[in-house]
Amino acid sequence: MKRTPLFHYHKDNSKLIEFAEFEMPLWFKGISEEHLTVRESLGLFDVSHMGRFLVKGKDATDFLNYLLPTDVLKVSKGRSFYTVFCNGEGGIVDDSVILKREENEYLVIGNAINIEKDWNWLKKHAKSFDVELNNLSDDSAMLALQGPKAEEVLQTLVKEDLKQIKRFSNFKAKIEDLEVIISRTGYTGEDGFEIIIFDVSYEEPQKALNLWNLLLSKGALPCGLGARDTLRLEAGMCLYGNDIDESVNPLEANLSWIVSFDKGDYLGREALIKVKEKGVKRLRKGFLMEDRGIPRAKCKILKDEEEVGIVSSGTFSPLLKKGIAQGYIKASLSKDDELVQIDIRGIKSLARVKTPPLYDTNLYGWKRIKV
Amino acid sequence: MKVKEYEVPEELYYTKEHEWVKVISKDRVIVGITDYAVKMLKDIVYFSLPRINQEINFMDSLGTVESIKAVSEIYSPLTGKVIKVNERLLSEPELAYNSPYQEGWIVEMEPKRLDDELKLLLKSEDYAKLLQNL
Repeated sequence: MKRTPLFHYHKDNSKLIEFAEFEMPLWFKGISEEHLTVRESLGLFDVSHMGRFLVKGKDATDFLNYLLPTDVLKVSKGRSFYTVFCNGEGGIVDDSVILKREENEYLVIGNAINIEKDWNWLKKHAKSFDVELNNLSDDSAMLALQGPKAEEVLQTLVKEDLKQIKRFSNFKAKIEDLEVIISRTGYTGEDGFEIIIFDVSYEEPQKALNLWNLLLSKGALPCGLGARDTLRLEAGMCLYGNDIDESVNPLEANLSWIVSFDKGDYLGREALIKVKEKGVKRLRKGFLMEDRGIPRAKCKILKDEEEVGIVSSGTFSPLLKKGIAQGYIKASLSKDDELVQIDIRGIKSLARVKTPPLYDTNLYGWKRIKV
Repeated sequence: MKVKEYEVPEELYYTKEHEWVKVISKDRVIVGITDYAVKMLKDIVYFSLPRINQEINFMDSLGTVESIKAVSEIYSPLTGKVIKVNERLLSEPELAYNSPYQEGWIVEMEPKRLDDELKLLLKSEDYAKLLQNL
Protein backbone atom coordinates (compact mmCIF):
# COMPACT_ATOMS: atom_id res chain seq x y z
CA MET A 1 0.00 0.00 0.00
CA LYS A 2 1.19 3.54 -0.77
CA ARG A 3 1.80 6.13 1.94
CA THR A 4 2.23 9.89 1.87
CA PRO A 5 5.03 11.70 3.74
CA LEU A 6 2.49 12.56 6.44
CA PHE A 7 1.70 8.93 7.15
CA HIS A 8 4.22 9.23 9.98
CA TYR A 9 1.70 11.54 11.65
CA HIS A 10 -1.47 9.74 10.57
CA LYS A 11 -0.48 6.32 11.91
CA ASP A 12 -0.58 7.50 15.52
CA ASN A 13 -3.38 10.02 15.28
CA SER A 14 -6.13 8.80 12.99
CA LYS A 15 -8.38 5.97 11.98
CA LEU A 16 -6.83 4.74 8.76
CA ILE A 17 -8.54 3.47 5.63
CA GLU A 18 -7.43 2.36 2.23
CA PHE A 19 -8.23 4.83 -0.51
CA ALA A 20 -6.95 4.50 -4.09
CA GLU A 21 -4.18 2.18 -2.87
CA PHE A 22 -3.11 4.72 -0.25
CA GLU A 23 -3.26 4.20 3.48
CA MET A 24 -4.96 7.47 4.47
CA PRO A 25 -6.67 8.98 7.52
CA LEU A 26 -10.46 8.60 7.50
CA TRP A 27 -10.74 10.83 10.56
CA PHE A 28 -8.69 12.16 13.46
CA LYS A 29 -11.40 13.38 15.87
CA GLY A 30 -14.48 12.29 13.95
CA ILE A 31 -16.04 13.23 10.63
CA SER A 32 -18.73 15.53 12.04
CA GLU A 33 -16.38 17.55 14.20
CA GLU A 34 -13.85 17.94 11.39
CA HIS A 35 -16.55 18.85 8.88
CA LEU A 36 -18.07 21.56 11.09
CA THR A 37 -14.65 22.95 11.97
CA VAL A 38 -13.88 23.49 8.28
CA ARG A 39 -17.23 25.24 7.72
CA GLU A 40 -16.80 27.45 10.77
CA SER A 41 -13.09 27.86 11.33
CA LEU A 42 -10.09 25.96 9.93
CA GLY A 43 -9.11 22.44 8.96
CA LEU A 44 -5.95 20.91 7.51
CA PHE A 45 -5.98 17.97 5.09
CA ASP A 46 -3.18 15.85 3.75
CA VAL A 47 -3.93 15.61 0.03
CA SER A 48 -0.50 14.35 -0.96
CA HIS A 49 -2.09 11.20 -2.37
CA MET A 50 -3.29 13.18 -5.38
CA GLY A 51 -1.34 13.11 -8.63
CA ARG A 52 0.96 16.02 -9.49
CA PHE A 53 2.40 16.39 -12.97
CA LEU A 54 4.59 19.18 -14.31
CA VAL A 55 3.99 20.08 -17.95
CA LYS A 56 6.48 22.54 -19.41
CA GLY A 57 8.13 23.48 -22.68
CA LYS A 58 7.50 25.50 -25.80
CA ASP A 59 4.21 23.74 -26.63
CA ALA A 60 2.87 23.30 -23.09
CA THR A 61 -0.10 25.62 -23.61
CA ASP A 62 -0.97 24.15 -27.03
CA PHE A 63 -0.61 20.63 -25.63
CA LEU A 64 -3.06 21.23 -22.79
CA ASN A 65 -5.33 23.20 -25.06
CA TYR A 66 -5.52 20.11 -27.29
CA LEU A 67 -6.19 17.77 -24.34
CA LEU A 68 -8.79 19.89 -22.52
CA PRO A 69 -12.25 21.21 -23.42
CA THR A 70 -11.35 24.41 -21.56
CA ASP A 71 -9.84 27.32 -23.48
CA VAL A 72 -6.34 27.29 -22.02
CA LEU A 73 -5.28 30.27 -24.17
CA LYS A 74 -7.54 32.45 -22.03
CA VAL A 75 -5.87 31.41 -18.77
CA SER A 76 -3.31 33.88 -17.48
CA LYS A 77 -0.11 33.15 -15.62
CA GLY A 78 -0.70 32.68 -11.90
CA ARG A 79 -4.25 31.37 -12.33
CA SER A 80 -5.54 27.92 -11.37
CA PHE A 81 -8.51 26.34 -13.14
CA TYR A 82 -10.79 23.35 -12.77
CA THR A 83 -11.22 21.21 -15.87
CA VAL A 84 -11.54 17.64 -17.13
CA PHE A 85 -9.56 15.53 -19.57
CA CYS A 86 -11.88 13.97 -22.16
CA ASN A 87 -11.28 11.01 -24.41
CA GLY A 88 -12.29 10.98 -28.09
CA GLU A 89 -15.86 10.02 -27.15
CA GLY A 90 -16.17 12.92 -24.75
CA GLY A 91 -15.92 10.62 -21.70
CA ILE A 92 -14.12 12.00 -18.67
CA VAL A 93 -10.63 10.52 -18.21
CA ASP A 94 -10.04 12.55 -15.05
CA ASP A 95 -10.98 15.86 -13.50
CA SER A 96 -8.22 18.18 -12.50
CA VAL A 97 -7.15 21.50 -11.09
CA ILE A 98 -4.36 22.96 -13.17
CA LEU A 99 -2.04 25.71 -11.98
CA LYS A 100 -0.61 27.91 -14.71
CA ARG A 101 2.76 28.79 -13.20
CA GLU A 102 4.53 30.41 -16.16
CA GLU A 103 3.58 31.10 -19.77
CA ASN A 104 4.56 27.55 -20.72
CA GLU A 105 4.59 25.77 -17.39
CA TYR A 106 1.64 24.07 -15.72
CA LEU A 107 1.15 21.93 -12.66
CA VAL A 108 -1.63 19.39 -13.24
CA ILE A 109 -3.32 17.98 -10.12
CA GLY A 110 -5.24 14.75 -10.73
CA ASN A 111 -7.01 12.13 -8.65
CA ALA A 112 -5.04 9.59 -6.63
CA ILE A 113 -6.99 6.78 -8.24
CA ASN A 114 -5.91 7.99 -11.69
CA ILE A 115 -2.21 8.71 -11.18
CA GLU A 116 -1.03 6.01 -13.53
CA LYS A 117 -3.81 6.60 -16.06
CA ASP A 118 -3.21 10.37 -16.16
CA TRP A 119 0.53 9.90 -16.49
CA ASN A 120 0.08 7.49 -19.39
CA TRP A 121 -2.53 9.77 -20.95
CA LEU A 122 -0.21 12.77 -20.85
CA LYS A 123 2.76 10.78 -22.18
CA LYS A 124 0.72 9.20 -24.97
CA HIS A 125 -0.51 12.53 -26.33
CA ALA A 126 2.71 14.45 -25.80
CA LYS A 127 4.50 12.78 -28.71
CA SER A 128 3.66 15.41 -31.31
CA PHE A 129 4.29 18.36 -28.96
CA ASP A 130 7.49 19.94 -27.69
CA VAL A 131 6.79 19.41 -23.99
CA GLU A 132 8.61 17.99 -21.04
CA LEU A 133 6.58 15.94 -18.58
CA ASN A 134 7.44 15.17 -15.01
CA ASN A 135 5.51 12.97 -12.59
CA LEU A 136 6.10 14.59 -9.20
CA SER A 137 3.48 12.56 -7.36
CA ASP A 138 5.91 10.55 -5.21
CA ASP A 139 8.36 13.40 -4.64
CA SER A 140 6.08 16.13 -3.41
CA ALA A 141 3.38 16.68 -0.83
CA MET A 142 0.22 18.75 -0.76
CA LEU A 143 -1.66 20.17 2.21
CA ALA A 144 -5.08 21.78 2.01
CA LEU A 145 -5.73 24.49 4.58
CA GLN A 146 -9.47 25.06 4.40
CA GLY A 147 -12.03 27.19 6.16
CA PRO A 148 -13.01 30.82 6.76
CA LYS A 149 -9.91 31.40 8.93
CA ALA A 150 -7.49 30.19 6.25
CA GLU A 151 -6.46 33.63 5.07
CA GLU A 152 -5.90 35.01 8.55
CA VAL A 153 -3.74 32.06 9.59
CA LEU A 154 -1.71 31.74 6.40
CA GLN A 155 -1.07 35.50 6.42
CA THR A 156 1.00 35.07 9.58
CA LEU A 157 3.35 32.78 7.60
CA VAL A 158 3.81 34.39 4.17
CA LYS A 159 4.90 37.89 3.20
CA GLU A 160 2.56 38.23 0.20
CA ASP A 161 -0.62 40.17 0.90
CA LEU A 162 -3.27 37.48 0.69
CA LYS A 163 -5.99 40.09 0.19
CA GLN A 164 -4.47 40.50 -3.29
CA ILE A 165 -4.56 36.76 -4.01
CA LYS A 166 -7.90 35.98 -5.59
CA ARG A 167 -9.72 32.68 -5.45
CA PHE A 168 -8.24 30.38 -8.14
CA SER A 169 -4.87 32.15 -8.13
CA ASN A 170 -1.49 30.61 -7.33
CA PHE A 171 1.91 31.93 -6.36
CA LYS A 172 5.32 30.84 -5.15
CA ALA A 173 5.96 31.61 -1.49
CA LYS A 174 8.29 30.93 1.38
CA ILE A 175 6.98 29.59 4.67
CA GLU A 176 9.84 29.87 7.12
CA ASP A 177 12.65 28.48 4.95
CA LEU A 178 10.49 26.24 2.85
CA GLU A 179 9.71 27.12 -0.77
CA VAL A 180 6.18 26.16 -1.70
CA ILE A 181 3.54 26.82 -4.33
CA ILE A 182 0.21 27.98 -2.96
CA SER A 183 -3.08 27.89 -4.83
CA ARG A 184 -6.22 29.50 -3.45
CA THR A 185 -8.35 26.46 -4.23
CA GLY A 186 -9.84 23.46 -2.46
CA TYR A 187 -12.38 20.68 -2.35
CA THR A 188 -14.59 21.83 0.51
CA GLY A 189 -16.57 24.80 -0.79
CA GLU A 190 -14.82 27.01 1.76
CA ASP A 191 -12.09 29.54 1.18
CA GLY A 192 -8.68 27.98 1.53
CA PHE A 193 -5.27 27.23 0.14
CA GLU A 194 -3.59 24.18 -1.28
CA ILE A 195 0.12 24.18 -0.52
CA ILE A 196 2.55 22.10 -2.54
CA ILE A 197 5.92 21.11 -1.13
CA PHE A 198 8.60 19.69 -3.42
CA ASP A 199 11.46 17.25 -2.87
CA VAL A 200 9.75 15.40 -0.07
CA SER A 201 8.69 11.76 0.10
CA TYR A 202 7.56 9.05 2.49
CA GLU A 203 11.23 8.20 3.05
CA GLU A 204 12.27 11.86 3.47
CA PRO A 205 9.14 13.37 5.03
CA GLN A 206 10.56 16.11 7.26
CA LYS A 207 9.67 19.19 5.21
CA ALA A 208 6.05 18.11 4.93
CA LEU A 209 5.81 17.11 8.58
CA ASN A 210 7.28 20.46 9.66
CA LEU A 211 4.72 22.44 7.68
CA TRP A 212 1.88 20.16 8.84
CA ASN A 213 2.87 20.66 12.49
CA LEU A 214 3.36 24.39 12.00
CA LEU A 215 -0.16 24.78 10.61
CA LEU A 216 -1.60 22.66 13.41
CA SER A 217 0.20 24.86 15.94
CA LYS A 218 -1.60 27.85 14.39
CA GLY A 219 -4.94 26.27 15.29
CA ALA A 220 -5.94 24.21 12.25
CA LEU A 221 -7.69 20.92 13.05
CA PRO A 222 -6.32 17.86 11.24
CA CYS A 223 -9.03 16.43 8.98
CA GLY A 224 -9.37 13.13 7.16
CA LEU A 225 -10.89 11.84 3.97
CA GLY A 226 -14.26 11.34 5.67
CA ALA A 227 -14.81 15.07 6.17
CA ARG A 228 -13.26 15.76 2.79
CA ASP A 229 -16.01 13.65 1.23
CA THR A 230 -18.93 15.16 3.17
CA LEU A 231 -17.64 18.69 2.55
CA ARG A 232 -17.22 18.24 -1.21
CA LEU A 233 -20.64 16.58 -1.44
CA GLU A 234 -22.35 19.54 0.24
CA ALA A 235 -20.45 21.83 -2.11
CA GLY A 236 -21.51 19.75 -5.13
CA MET A 237 -18.05 18.76 -6.32
CA CYS A 238 -17.40 15.53 -8.21
CA LEU A 239 -15.58 12.49 -6.91
CA TYR A 240 -13.97 10.64 -9.81
CA GLY A 241 -15.08 7.02 -9.96
CA ASN A 242 -18.40 7.86 -8.28
CA ASP A 243 -19.89 10.95 -9.88
CA ILE A 244 -17.88 11.02 -13.07
CA ASP A 245 -15.93 8.49 -15.12
CA GLU A 246 -15.33 7.62 -18.75
CA SER A 247 -19.01 6.74 -19.29
CA VAL A 248 -20.02 10.33 -18.56
CA ASN A 249 -19.33 13.49 -20.55
CA PRO A 250 -18.86 16.94 -18.98
CA LEU A 251 -22.19 18.25 -20.31
CA GLU A 252 -24.14 15.51 -18.52
CA ALA A 253 -21.96 16.06 -15.48
CA ASN A 254 -23.26 19.64 -15.39
CA LEU A 255 -19.77 20.94 -16.12
CA SER A 256 -20.67 22.77 -19.34
CA TRP A 257 -19.05 25.91 -17.88
CA ILE A 258 -15.62 24.36 -18.44
CA VAL A 259 -16.39 23.33 -22.04
CA SER A 260 -15.57 25.70 -24.90
CA PHE A 261 -16.97 25.06 -28.36
CA ASP A 262 -15.36 28.03 -30.07
CA LYS A 263 -11.70 27.57 -29.19
CA GLY A 264 -10.76 25.33 -32.13
CA ASP A 265 -10.12 21.62 -32.22
CA TYR A 266 -9.42 19.50 -29.15
CA LEU A 267 -9.72 15.90 -28.08
CA GLY A 268 -13.38 14.97 -27.69
CA ARG A 269 -14.73 18.12 -29.34
CA GLU A 270 -16.64 16.33 -32.13
CA ALA A 271 -18.31 14.03 -29.62
CA LEU A 272 -19.23 16.89 -27.29
CA ILE A 273 -20.72 18.90 -30.17
CA LYS A 274 -22.95 15.92 -30.98
CA VAL A 275 -24.04 15.67 -27.35
CA LYS A 276 -24.80 19.37 -27.29
CA GLU A 277 -26.82 19.24 -30.52
CA LYS A 278 -28.87 16.29 -29.36
CA GLY A 279 -29.27 17.72 -25.88
CA VAL A 280 -28.34 15.80 -22.74
CA LYS A 281 -30.76 13.14 -21.51
CA ARG A 282 -29.51 13.09 -17.94
CA LEU A 283 -27.90 15.66 -15.72
CA ARG A 284 -25.85 15.56 -12.52
CA LYS A 285 -27.69 17.36 -9.71
CA GLY A 286 -27.71 17.61 -5.94
CA PHE A 287 -30.44 16.09 -3.74
CA LEU A 288 -31.64 16.94 -0.25
CA MET A 289 -33.60 14.31 1.66
CA GLU A 290 -37.02 15.35 2.84
CA ASP A 291 -37.59 12.02 4.62
CA ARG A 292 -35.25 10.30 7.04
CA GLY A 293 -32.69 8.02 5.47
CA ILE A 294 -29.25 8.36 3.97
CA PRO A 295 -28.94 7.89 0.23
CA ARG A 296 -25.86 6.01 -0.95
CA ALA A 297 -24.20 5.43 -4.31
CA LYS A 298 -26.26 3.26 -6.71
CA CYS A 299 -29.62 3.95 -5.02
CA LYS A 300 -32.31 4.37 -7.68
CA ILE A 301 -34.12 7.68 -8.16
CA LEU A 302 -37.84 7.31 -8.86
CA LYS A 303 -40.67 9.55 -10.00
CA ASP A 304 -44.21 8.13 -9.99
CA GLU A 305 -42.82 4.59 -9.59
CA GLU A 306 -40.68 5.00 -12.71
CA GLU A 307 -36.89 4.88 -12.51
CA VAL A 308 -35.57 8.29 -13.56
CA GLY A 309 -32.03 8.36 -12.27
CA ILE A 310 -29.35 7.00 -10.01
CA VAL A 311 -27.42 8.30 -7.00
CA SER A 312 -23.68 8.59 -7.69
CA SER A 313 -22.70 9.51 -4.14
CA GLY A 314 -24.58 10.15 -0.95
CA THR A 315 -23.95 10.72 2.72
CA PHE A 316 -25.27 12.31 5.88
CA SER A 317 -24.60 16.04 6.00
CA PRO A 318 -23.14 16.93 9.41
CA LEU A 319 -24.14 20.55 8.79
CA LEU A 320 -27.71 20.08 7.54
CA LYS A 321 -28.26 16.98 9.70
CA LYS A 322 -29.93 15.09 6.89
CA GLY A 323 -29.17 12.84 3.97
CA ILE A 324 -27.71 14.48 0.88
CA ALA A 325 -26.70 13.11 -2.47
CA GLN A 326 -25.45 13.74 -5.91
CA GLY A 327 -26.76 11.81 -8.85
CA TYR A 328 -27.90 11.68 -12.42
CA ILE A 329 -31.52 12.44 -13.19
CA LYS A 330 -33.54 12.65 -16.38
CA ALA A 331 -32.93 16.15 -17.74
CA SER A 332 -36.66 16.95 -17.82
CA LEU A 333 -36.86 16.40 -14.05
CA SER A 334 -33.66 18.22 -13.15
CA LYS A 335 -35.17 21.54 -12.10
CA ASP A 336 -34.63 22.70 -8.53
CA ASP A 337 -37.34 21.72 -6.04
CA GLU A 338 -38.58 18.82 -8.16
CA LEU A 339 -39.69 16.12 -5.71
CA VAL A 340 -38.48 12.60 -6.34
CA GLN A 341 -38.08 9.40 -4.37
CA ILE A 342 -34.82 7.67 -3.64
CA ASP A 343 -34.98 3.94 -3.07
CA ILE A 344 -32.82 3.41 0.01
CA ARG A 345 -32.54 -0.35 0.44
CA GLY A 346 -36.20 -0.85 -0.38
CA ILE A 347 -37.57 2.21 1.39
CA LYS A 348 -38.78 4.89 -1.02
CA SER A 349 -37.83 8.17 0.58
CA LEU A 350 -38.74 11.67 -0.53
CA ALA A 351 -35.96 13.93 -1.79
CA ARG A 352 -35.75 17.31 -3.45
CA VAL A 353 -33.59 18.26 -6.42
CA LYS A 354 -31.24 21.12 -5.61
CA THR A 355 -28.40 22.81 -7.44
CA PRO A 356 -25.41 22.72 -5.08
CA PRO A 357 -24.03 24.07 -2.86
CA LEU A 358 -26.57 22.39 -0.61
CA TYR A 359 -25.83 24.72 2.32
CA ASP A 360 -27.02 28.30 2.74
CA THR A 361 -24.42 30.34 0.84
CA ASN A 362 -25.13 33.38 3.01
CA LEU A 363 -23.81 31.43 6.00
CA TYR A 364 -21.23 29.02 4.57
CA GLY A 365 -18.83 28.70 1.64
CA TRP A 366 -16.12 30.91 0.18
CA LYS A 367 -18.55 33.25 -1.56
CA ARG A 368 -19.64 34.73 1.76
CA ILE A 369 -16.06 35.89 2.25
CA LYS A 370 -14.76 38.50 -0.16
CA VAL A 371 -11.93 36.73 -2.00
CA MET B 1 -13.64 -4.90 32.38
CA LYS B 2 -11.74 -2.82 29.90
CA VAL B 3 -9.93 -4.16 26.84
CA LYS B 4 -7.71 -1.61 25.14
CA GLU B 5 -10.00 1.44 25.16
CA TYR B 6 -13.23 -0.60 25.06
CA GLU B 7 -15.65 -1.33 27.87
CA VAL B 8 -16.76 -4.96 28.14
CA PRO B 9 -19.31 -5.34 30.97
CA GLU B 10 -18.94 -8.77 32.57
CA GLU B 11 -22.63 -9.60 33.01
CA LEU B 12 -23.44 -9.43 29.27
CA TYR B 13 -23.31 -11.95 26.43
CA TYR B 14 -21.80 -10.98 23.07
CA THR B 15 -21.77 -11.88 19.40
CA LYS B 16 -18.73 -11.90 17.14
CA GLU B 17 -20.52 -9.15 15.21
CA HIS B 18 -20.33 -6.88 18.29
CA GLU B 19 -23.89 -7.01 19.62
CA TRP B 20 -24.53 -7.47 23.34
CA VAL B 21 -27.37 -9.16 25.23
CA LYS B 22 -28.45 -8.48 28.76
CA VAL B 23 -30.65 -11.18 30.27
CA ILE B 24 -33.28 -9.60 32.53
CA SER B 25 -35.40 -12.74 32.92
CA LYS B 26 -36.09 -15.89 30.93
CA ASP B 27 -38.56 -14.01 28.75
CA ARG B 28 -36.98 -10.61 28.61
CA VAL B 29 -33.60 -9.53 27.21
CA ILE B 30 -32.12 -6.22 26.11
CA VAL B 31 -29.95 -5.97 23.02
CA GLY B 32 -27.49 -3.34 21.86
CA ILE B 33 -24.17 -2.85 20.09
CA THR B 34 -20.87 -2.82 21.94
CA ASP B 35 -18.53 -0.02 22.88
CA TYR B 36 -16.07 -1.39 20.32
CA ALA B 37 -18.75 -1.26 17.60
CA VAL B 38 -19.72 2.33 18.30
CA LYS B 39 -16.11 3.43 18.48
CA MET B 40 -15.46 1.86 15.11
CA LEU B 41 -18.54 3.53 13.63
CA LYS B 42 -17.74 6.79 15.43
CA ASP B 43 -20.11 9.27 13.75
CA ILE B 44 -23.39 7.40 14.26
CA VAL B 45 -26.12 9.31 12.46
CA TYR B 46 -28.97 6.95 11.69
CA PHE B 47 -30.79 3.88 13.00
CA SER B 48 -33.40 1.79 11.31
CA LEU B 49 -35.21 -0.34 13.88
CA PRO B 50 -37.53 -3.37 13.70
CA ARG B 51 -41.28 -3.19 14.32
CA ILE B 52 -42.73 -4.10 17.68
CA ASN B 53 -43.96 -7.74 17.69
CA GLN B 54 -41.65 -8.56 14.80
CA GLU B 55 -40.32 -12.12 15.05
CA ILE B 56 -36.63 -12.40 14.29
CA ASN B 57 -34.40 -15.46 13.97
CA PHE B 58 -31.01 -15.96 15.51
CA MET B 59 -28.46 -13.75 13.69
CA ASP B 60 -31.00 -12.35 11.23
CA SER B 61 -31.09 -8.60 10.68
CA LEU B 62 -32.53 -6.60 13.53
CA GLY B 63 -32.04 -3.31 11.71
CA THR B 64 -29.22 -1.11 10.54
CA VAL B 65 -26.94 1.48 12.04
CA GLU B 66 -25.30 4.06 9.85
CA SER B 67 -22.23 6.15 10.34
CA ILE B 68 -21.58 9.04 7.99
CA LYS B 69 -19.46 6.70 5.94
CA ALA B 70 -21.40 3.45 5.74
CA VAL B 71 -24.35 1.22 6.63
CA SER B 72 -23.91 -1.75 9.00
CA GLU B 73 -26.36 -4.52 9.82
CA ILE B 74 -27.33 -5.16 13.39
CA TYR B 75 -27.74 -8.90 13.92
CA SER B 76 -30.21 -10.39 16.33
CA PRO B 77 -28.24 -12.33 18.96
CA LEU B 78 -31.31 -14.43 19.80
CA THR B 79 -34.46 -15.81 18.21
CA GLY B 80 -37.53 -14.06 19.53
CA LYS B 81 -40.10 -11.32 19.36
CA VAL B 82 -39.35 -7.61 19.58
CA ILE B 83 -41.31 -6.14 22.49
CA LYS B 84 -39.81 -2.66 22.72
CA VAL B 85 -37.55 -0.48 20.55
CA ASN B 86 -35.48 2.46 21.71
CA GLU B 87 -37.19 5.20 19.75
CA ARG B 88 -34.88 7.85 21.17
CA LEU B 89 -32.23 6.48 18.79
CA LEU B 90 -34.26 7.79 15.87
CA SER B 91 -33.80 11.40 16.91
CA GLU B 92 -30.63 11.01 18.99
CA PRO B 93 -28.54 8.31 17.29
CA GLU B 94 -25.46 9.60 19.13
CA LEU B 95 -26.87 7.99 22.32
CA ALA B 96 -25.47 4.73 21.06
CA TYR B 97 -22.00 6.23 20.93
CA ASN B 98 -22.21 8.04 24.23
CA SER B 99 -23.82 5.23 26.19
CA PRO B 100 -23.71 1.92 24.30
CA TYR B 101 -24.74 -0.24 27.29
CA GLN B 102 -27.30 2.07 28.91
CA GLU B 103 -29.23 4.77 27.09
CA GLY B 104 -28.09 3.47 23.72
CA TRP B 105 -29.85 0.08 24.00
CA ILE B 106 -31.57 -0.92 20.78
CA VAL B 107 -34.41 -3.39 21.44
CA GLU B 108 -36.03 -5.47 24.12
CA MET B 109 -36.92 -8.99 23.05
CA GLU B 110 -38.87 -11.95 24.30
CA PRO B 111 -36.48 -14.82 23.49
CA LYS B 112 -37.78 -18.16 22.21
CA ARG B 113 -34.76 -20.39 22.71
CA LEU B 114 -32.80 -18.53 25.33
CA ASP B 115 -30.98 -21.42 26.99
CA ASP B 116 -29.88 -23.04 23.72
CA GLU B 117 -28.83 -19.85 22.06
CA LEU B 118 -26.95 -18.33 24.99
CA LYS B 119 -24.53 -21.21 24.56
CA LEU B 120 -23.82 -19.93 21.06
CA LEU B 121 -22.92 -16.46 22.32
CA LEU B 122 -19.63 -15.27 23.77
CA LYS B 123 -19.15 -14.68 27.48
CA SER B 124 -17.44 -11.41 28.36
CA GLU B 125 -14.02 -13.02 28.77
CA ASP B 126 -14.28 -14.60 25.32
CA TYR B 127 -15.42 -11.35 23.77
CA ALA B 128 -12.54 -9.60 25.50
CA LYS B 129 -10.16 -12.11 23.89
CA LEU B 130 -11.70 -11.42 20.51
CA LEU B 131 -11.12 -7.68 20.95
CA GLN B 132 -7.62 -8.30 22.21
CA ASN B 133 -6.80 -10.08 18.95
CA LEU B 134 -8.30 -7.47 16.59
